[in-house]
Amino acid sequence: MKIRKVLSLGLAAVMAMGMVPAIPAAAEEPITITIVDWNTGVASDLQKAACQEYMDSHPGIIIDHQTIPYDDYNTKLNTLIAAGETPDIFYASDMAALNYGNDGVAQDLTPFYEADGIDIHEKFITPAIYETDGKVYGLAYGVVATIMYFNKAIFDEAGVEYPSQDPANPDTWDQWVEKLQALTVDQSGNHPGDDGFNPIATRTYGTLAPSWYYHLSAFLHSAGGSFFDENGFALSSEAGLRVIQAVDDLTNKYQVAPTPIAEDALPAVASMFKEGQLATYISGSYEYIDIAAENPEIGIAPLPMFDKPATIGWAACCEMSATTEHPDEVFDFFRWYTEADTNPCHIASNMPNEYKYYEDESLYDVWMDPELYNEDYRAVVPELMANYSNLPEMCYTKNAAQIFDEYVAPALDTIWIGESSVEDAVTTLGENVMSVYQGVW
Amino acid sequence: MRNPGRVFLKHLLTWIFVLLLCIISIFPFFWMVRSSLMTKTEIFGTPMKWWPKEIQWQNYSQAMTQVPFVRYFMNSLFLVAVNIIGKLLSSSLVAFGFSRIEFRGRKIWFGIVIATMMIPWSVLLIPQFMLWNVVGLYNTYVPLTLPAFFLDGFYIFLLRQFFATLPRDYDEAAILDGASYFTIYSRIIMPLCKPALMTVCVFTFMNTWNDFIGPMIYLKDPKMSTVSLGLQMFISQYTTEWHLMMAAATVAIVPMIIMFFFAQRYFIEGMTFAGIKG
Amino acid sequence: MKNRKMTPAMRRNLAGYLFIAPALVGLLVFYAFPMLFSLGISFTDWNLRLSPNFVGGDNYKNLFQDQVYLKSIRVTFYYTLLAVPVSNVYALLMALLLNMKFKGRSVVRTIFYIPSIVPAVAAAGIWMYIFNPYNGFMNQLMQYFGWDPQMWIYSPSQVIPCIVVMAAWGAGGTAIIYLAALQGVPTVLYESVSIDGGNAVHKFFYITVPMISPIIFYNVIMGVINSMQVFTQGYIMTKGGPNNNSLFYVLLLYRRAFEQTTMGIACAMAWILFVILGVLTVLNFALSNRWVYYGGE
Repeated sequence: MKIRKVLSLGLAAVMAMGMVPAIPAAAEEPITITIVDWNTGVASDLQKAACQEYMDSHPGIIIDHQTIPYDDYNTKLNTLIAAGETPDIFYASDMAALNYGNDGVAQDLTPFYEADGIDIHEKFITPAIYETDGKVYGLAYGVVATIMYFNKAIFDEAGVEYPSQDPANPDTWDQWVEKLQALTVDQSGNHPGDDGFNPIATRTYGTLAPSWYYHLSAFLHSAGGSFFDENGFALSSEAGLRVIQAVDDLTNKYQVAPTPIAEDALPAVASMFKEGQLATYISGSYEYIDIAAENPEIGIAPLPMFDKPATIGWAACCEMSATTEHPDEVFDFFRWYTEADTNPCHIASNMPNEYKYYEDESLYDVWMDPELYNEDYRAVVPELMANYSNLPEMCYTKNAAQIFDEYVAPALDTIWIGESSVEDAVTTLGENVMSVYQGVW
Repeated sequence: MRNPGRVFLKHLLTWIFVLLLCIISIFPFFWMVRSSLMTKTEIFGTPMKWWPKEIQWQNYSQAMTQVPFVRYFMNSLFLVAVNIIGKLLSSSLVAFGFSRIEFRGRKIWFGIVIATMMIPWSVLLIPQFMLWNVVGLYNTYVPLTLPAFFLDGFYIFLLRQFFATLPRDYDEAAILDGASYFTIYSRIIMPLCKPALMTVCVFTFMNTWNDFIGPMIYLKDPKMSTVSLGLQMFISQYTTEWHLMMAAATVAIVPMIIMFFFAQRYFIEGMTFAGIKG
Repeated sequence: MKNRKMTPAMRRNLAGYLFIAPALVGLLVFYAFPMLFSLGISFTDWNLRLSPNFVGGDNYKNLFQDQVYLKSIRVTFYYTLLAVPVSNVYALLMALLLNMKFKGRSVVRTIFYIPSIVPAVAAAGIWMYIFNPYNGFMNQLMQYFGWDPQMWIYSPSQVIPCIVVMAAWGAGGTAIIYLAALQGVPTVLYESVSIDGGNAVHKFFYITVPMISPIIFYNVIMGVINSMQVFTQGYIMTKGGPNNNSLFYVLLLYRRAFEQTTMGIACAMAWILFVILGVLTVLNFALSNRWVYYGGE
């Protein structure tokens, strides 16, 4: 009967598909190294070309490289690990990196580097090293940092001095806010504090409130505070409250920033700068390419400080499987993959992880193409990264994903919405979060 | 006598209502197309730009080459075709069993089939992956096709409900004539259910075409990837290439629109049961 | 020869099981192990890396005191209570419209189908424009009528109703199911109402609704099952906010499974949801005897 024929044909076709082997039966010699990352687009092409280069120069090694889209990366990586198929080298999101190490999935890299005669702390900058208890479980590759962008034209027009571009002496927070007040105007030309200032009709915002807990950790560090410390909840300290209040004041007291709760709804920052709707912006260096595409003369400055200059740096953390069958070969490729000398794929769009790239000016062109990165960027960023940046606190909090996504971010939301005062929200947070808090690495 | 004015008004109101609904429904497609022709920063400007300042045709060529879309298209089509065959066959057979045959335990088994839809995929993902991995079928199309020939509660339930609306008179007549259940299934029930079967086709097409979790988990070789997974590749850690993604999505949506346009001709109106009394 | 020994009941049973054999095999091969596995894991502290340790009912116990979890239950129930009726009414209206004979019907049906095939990310982009507090479409409409602009998806109280509107808009699939059901109503029945002097309303309530009641029933059950598991809008658009007011159950579950990798807790959540859905479905089936009319039985 027709139906039966279709049925059997269909089944046969499916079986045939399944018979095609995914990996050809390997001879004894070639070693296959599996690597997964989340690079897409141009970065992915460069990456694949780099892997091909390694294979060409190392006969007997096959690199099995797979790209997993960023949004779903954790789902697949964790599935592979759970099923016992941990890739030999993999990216780990910064909040999970130390967990993998501690649970024996990621390898401690220190003995491998020592065998090669390298001191990790001397070679790699601080925010690139994911370490706990003397064990280095991951190395960041393609580092990014939080910096401040500013629109020089708006500053000039308002007759306001540029923010300090010296990483050792940035503007203080208060100095910065003062400037913002002079820069923020509504449609009628009024500044905040003037009679008739209408926040809904703001034409130019001083800034967008840096409300993401990553950026907040940089400011907390600058104020000598943190979300958590060895004694537990630390946000309720004087430094902590000071920082949160200061960020909230940007919107609700000084009216120099729109409400952070609806930040996603604003136009692209690049276009806001271009149209003169935004004076300054605190965010990751990864936004530089998009912003500079529309604003080639964009100014770059270090973050305003509370008590001391500080910013955060973080990245894709590369880790090596602790259960790999060929640790030496895998480590050889790992070094080749994470060091910019051999694999310059990431430093085209992000920052290098080794000191020498920051200290040796002749190398600047390698990672800051003069065609793409303007003078300001080249002047400010190297020193900022090399001397004033740290990993954000989240990387050291044990169950960071739960703490920050389920508790901290919603508590901050209540402040930004205006549902609760800073003290109340922080106190309530302190009471609620400690029941799930597991400590720091 | 019917008031022609009132009839006209009723038609006009209906038309206006339909037009409104059409605008609401087509708006997203319009947004996709206009975004696909803009630069990345133009897409989210406020107030919304209805049309790009300069049409960026190159978004399409860039999107198609950055990701090998033609191949993904063929892969997706293959998966869709196999899934449609599988689900039509298996769901109709099983639904027939549940609705037309009074066998012992049918309520329990039906309940269990429904129960399979009440567990979120997040927790089934890992054990299912483990199963496929253990038999060496990771990185093949088998996990994405074979299950279609067995169990899908969504369609089994749907067809069972449709079958249940059909009167039993034909069945009983056929049984008196000595027909087997299979004959009833193939000669009587199936032909009467074209709209329902078309619905299954349309849904299977939609769900298979848009499914990216399955391909993401079970495929490794980029050559085997699908359109839906290809769209995800425009999302990177810090940014999304909206303009390219919308170009690719517009191209991806076209076959579905075409398929639906032809499929819905099968929704024949007003089936009559000539010859059945009462 | 065997046939003479088989009673009609046995033949029916055999035939029945033969027909549902694909489902039985599917259950055994693709669902039995995963479901039992996840049930087992729900009694452990597995984090996908270390060996799981048995913790008894701790996961379940802790969940009932977990404020974030309880909030997700409230959020999801609220959403379901709104989404199922709204989507179904809208879908049925659309289907009634599309069932009528008019020129360009094919084109209109295709247009109505489009929302359900637009990729989720594109849909998110569009609705973020519509609900944009700064000059978005809705607020421009509000201002036109002289009302205050609203925060929409950025407001803790309005975020769920906004997502319900999105769900109704995407109900093209449900409309198609209703359309197919409407196709199955014999026109003979409508004619007999006309002959008896009935109008459109009579036709709708006395013929249409009972005849398609099995499908209404299906859409209600599937609506509940799917709404309780809503995920995409929360994941892409609102990220569970603001202040966890759109933290849907399955979104929280997914985060706990794959981002926090506390799979034991995630599995416990899955099985609690299973029980909830089971109870709701059984209730629905029990009630169905009162209002669902099966023409074939």
